[in-house]
Amino acid sequence: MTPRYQTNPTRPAGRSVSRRGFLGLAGGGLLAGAAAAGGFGAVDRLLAVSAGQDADYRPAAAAVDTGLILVTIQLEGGLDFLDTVIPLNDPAYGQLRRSSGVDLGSAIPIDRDFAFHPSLPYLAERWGGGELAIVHGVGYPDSSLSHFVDTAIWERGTEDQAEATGWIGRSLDAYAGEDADPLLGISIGTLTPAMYGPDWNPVSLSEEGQLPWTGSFIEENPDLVRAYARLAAAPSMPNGDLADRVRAGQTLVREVADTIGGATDLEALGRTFELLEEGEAEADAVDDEASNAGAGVLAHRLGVVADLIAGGLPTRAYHVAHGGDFDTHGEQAYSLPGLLRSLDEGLRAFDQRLGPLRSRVVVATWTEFGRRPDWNGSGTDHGTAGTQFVLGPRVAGGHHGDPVSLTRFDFDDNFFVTGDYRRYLAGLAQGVLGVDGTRILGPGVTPMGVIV
Amino acid sequence: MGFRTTIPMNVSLTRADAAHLLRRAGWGGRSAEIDRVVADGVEATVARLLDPATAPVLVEPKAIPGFVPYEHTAAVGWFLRTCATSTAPAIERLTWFWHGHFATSVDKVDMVDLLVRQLATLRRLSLGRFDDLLLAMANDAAMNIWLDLGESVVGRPNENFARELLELFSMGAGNGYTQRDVVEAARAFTGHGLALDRTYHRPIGSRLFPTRHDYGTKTFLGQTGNLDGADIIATVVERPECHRFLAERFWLRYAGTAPRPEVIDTLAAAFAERLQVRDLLTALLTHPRFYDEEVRTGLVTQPFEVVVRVVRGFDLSMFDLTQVSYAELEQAEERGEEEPYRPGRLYPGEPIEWLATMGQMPMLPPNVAGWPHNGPWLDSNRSAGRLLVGTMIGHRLIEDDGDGSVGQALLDSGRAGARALTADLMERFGRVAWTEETEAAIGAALGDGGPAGVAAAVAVAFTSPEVTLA
Repeated sequence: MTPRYQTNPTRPAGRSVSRRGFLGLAGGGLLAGAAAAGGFGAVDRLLAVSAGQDADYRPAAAAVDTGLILVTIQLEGGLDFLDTVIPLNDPAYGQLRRSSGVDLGSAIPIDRDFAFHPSLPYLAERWGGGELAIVHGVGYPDSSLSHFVDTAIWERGTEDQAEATGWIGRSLDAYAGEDADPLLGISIGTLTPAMYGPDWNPVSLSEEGQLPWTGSFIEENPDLVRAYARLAAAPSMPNGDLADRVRAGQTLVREVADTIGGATDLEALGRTFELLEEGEAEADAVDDEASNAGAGVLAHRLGVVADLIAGGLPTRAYHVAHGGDFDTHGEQAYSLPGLLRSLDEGLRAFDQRLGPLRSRVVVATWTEFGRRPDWNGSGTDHGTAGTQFVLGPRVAGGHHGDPVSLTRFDFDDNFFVTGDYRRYLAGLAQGVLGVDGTRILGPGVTPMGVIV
Repeated sequence: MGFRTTIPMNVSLTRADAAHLLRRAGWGGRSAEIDRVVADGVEATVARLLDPATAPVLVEPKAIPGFVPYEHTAAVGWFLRTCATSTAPAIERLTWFWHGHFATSVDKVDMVDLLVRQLATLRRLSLGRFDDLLLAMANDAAMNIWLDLGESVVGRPNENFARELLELFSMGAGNGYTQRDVVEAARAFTGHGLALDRTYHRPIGSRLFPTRHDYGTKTFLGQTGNLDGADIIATVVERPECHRFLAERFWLRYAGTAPRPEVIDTLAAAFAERLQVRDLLTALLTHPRFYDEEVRTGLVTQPFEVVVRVVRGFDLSMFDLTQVSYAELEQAEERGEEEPYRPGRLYPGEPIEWLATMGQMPMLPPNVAGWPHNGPWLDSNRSAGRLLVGTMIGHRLIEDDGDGSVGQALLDSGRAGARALTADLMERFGRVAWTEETEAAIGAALGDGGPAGVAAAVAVAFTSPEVTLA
């Protein structure tokens, strides 16, 4: 699919959309004008509106335009990397996991030391093409082993609980300063705290089944998209005043009704529902497609991201949650294959949908922790160090960092962490988002070279 | 016996105070109820609201024994109606709090009747001793499946339940315990398997399988011995960390603002004495700080709460799924029968669609920590969902309100003008005033007072800061 419109990321480096321009628009006036003048496509119009068309660009203070787009995939619950990137020839692995039920005969060897879980053929293919990085053993000392504490650490990019912003939010802020366009970051589903900015927030779009946002839905409903984006630009979540945020929403009720259908009459409301139903039908169709391919929720979410990228939004960072439960305390042999298959097939479908656009996309996984080395009889309990994947043509393929020791464990029988998670995040911030990774993740943190 | 409040609050409540209390303790009240609260005073009111004797007997959804009883949709419709029609709203609201606290999902448990039974247990024990509640959850069939208790056996303890018991249910992450304590607690809880119904072989609870239990010596929070699950819980509930943790959880969900240490001290002390949840909640609802302006606008109403309020406030009647099963409704629909789709009734799917659009579904929490608090409900996705539901509800009330009584009442108000409609909506949303901005916005939406204007005015009221932060 060829994008018709490429304001960004091919727009000149160092230019960003003004939030003032974004907020300064009223009703559908400019929109109507633009449509009458040029008759260009809906996404174009959306972008024209979001850019304010007032040429109020300002040079970004601290960002270099890499031309790349970051897509983070959260593997919620803590991935058991030991049964995912399997140290097949290490006898200690067999000792630890003799009953974990992985079909080792079907595991896919990727080099002398490691084999991929049988559910990961696409990742093995990309590894062969030099487009996949495996980042070993990252974490932090003294993990609490809590999903929620550790997830928050990954989102903030610091163990300091007083930090109200997320590492992606800080990166985007450095990219665009206080006039940050809320469309610079998009979460599918709930806004990830990783994107909380210092004084603004990016956009979150719906999960499947709710007000779906496929490419054509956006084309048909640019006003709705604009309304959402404006709402997201309200004072930021950590510091903002709740009542102000709600007040902004209240204003939007009338605007949404006004812009879709021209007046607050029943016809307009009815039209809103028709549009929603159309969108839902479309999303259902996508879901069917996805489930036929066996890839499910993640494929659907990534499909939405692919459409948004193809639509040429100014977005630099997308976040999706995998949607599966990687917290495999019990019946891991039953659940892990499906979880990994949906990751693998979701990524394959994503790349296919992106086509040539994938040259500017970097996919990076993160999970709050790895799991316990020892098998608990049915699965694995919470662990410490985790292994992450980075995928894309611009990725420095290969192993990064040191694999964990399978024979020396910490006081709680967990792996010793071999790498600082902040170096991994700093590598993404710097290599993909073009900001100073050390500034975002903290003094002394050297960005990992995961991007060529 | 009366319930002592730690800080006597002898000042009388204003009508605004009373409305705030009714909205937070339950689902909100109308003028007559507000007036009664003002007349009775805060202590008598809270004692009345938290009196278990006022709670109607809970009837579970109608089901045919031996078959998969009902679907998730039916269970949600049942729970919603239970909350909306109850004569003891504070107890239903508290059950909803506990559902978020012990968040268990049908996504993994699969058998929704087990979730319904868990809700019934939470409701039955909602006001009582906290250790009873924890023990009931440790022995609950849905919880057993949800946190892998059945997988935990001697020699191979599974830490899932033990960790969340300490982290999410009783003490707070890393708050006074170590990973060693988690492991030892996990050992104490080994051997809990599902107890099955003899006839239908469906889980009805859990029981101890002695051969799978670890009878060895354990050391948990300094106590050593052949500890079992009940011992772990007995130790936990004596901890000051537990008292403060629970006080903070209650404050966040009922008041919403950042907890002040001196307030938490008071609530924790009230709770610690007898470990009665009722003491804690009484101390909270009678605390002067609970009536501060920052508290009144400090809690984002969760979608479920706002839907219950709409069903209650607009007198919408829902099918009684204790009398007619969801399957029977569906069969009637397939046969093309009008009955029992009498006008004026909400089909269970309607409020459920509202919930889905706003991103919250009972018995399907996002994870074991339950639903988020405040901020995340206002991200662009969730806010937009709320806007759309506001327009859906406005539309539904005016257009499709079966027998027309609710719609007609609103239309009458609308025809009488902005002042009449804002007063009507104020009553239905359990308020004694709107802000000037909201009043102006409702008036502007009403326009010429026709049906479209009334629908838009309902949507504006629904999305107002007052209702969102009620």
